[in-house]
Amino acid sequence: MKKFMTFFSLTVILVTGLFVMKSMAVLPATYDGVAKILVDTTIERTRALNAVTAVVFDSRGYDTLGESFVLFTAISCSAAILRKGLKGR
Amino acid sequence: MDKNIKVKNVIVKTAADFFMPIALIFGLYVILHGHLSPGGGFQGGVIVAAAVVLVYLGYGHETTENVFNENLLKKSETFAAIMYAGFAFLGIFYGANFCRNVLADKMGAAGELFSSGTIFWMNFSVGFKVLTGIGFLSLIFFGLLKEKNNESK
Repeated sequence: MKKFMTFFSLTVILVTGLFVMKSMAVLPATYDGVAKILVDTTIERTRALNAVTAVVFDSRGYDTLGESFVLFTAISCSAAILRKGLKGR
Repeated sequence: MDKNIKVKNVIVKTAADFFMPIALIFGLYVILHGHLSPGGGFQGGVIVAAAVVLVYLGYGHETTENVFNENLLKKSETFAAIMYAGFAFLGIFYGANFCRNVLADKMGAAGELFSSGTIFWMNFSVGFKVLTGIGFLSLIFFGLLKEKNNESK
């Protein structure tokens, strides 16, 4: 029974994988989408040569704001837990 | 055995002396040129914060505690977080969206150091924040190590 279940699940995974591959192959290319617009117009929009920084700090400014506050929260919690390591204590 | 430890200390101290200025200069370069070359605030800040680790490795607890001011680092991190939020709010003051790059046309041509509007300033504030935050975290961990050594003795 265990052997049957193994082969059954492998067969299901294989068939599903082949089906997904076949259906994704006929999807339209995403090259002309947002990525191309971002890369082509980054210099005239933001005057930044590094497209990655332009995306991180301009197009996804919210994301970076949250990211930096994640770091801030982590460091504050570490300071609260590891209070022994501070100089005054 | 004692002599061996001393020789090791000299080597580590020399390496710390040699690499600390390089870490500071290279980290500040990576932060300030984040919009021109690969890198950015997070990466450059971590490189600068390596200077704290190098000072600790080369010179020990006392020098690290005397050289770095923990309260100043903590306050600087908070200030940098507020600075980022302020540059993000600049878009609202100019009549556009939150986080809009409103200074892009006012600062300089593409390729110059002071160009790309708020990207430069946000990059700088994130770099300053990561620098002070990771330095503060390293100082806390080193303080814990000292506490443990005193208890075991």
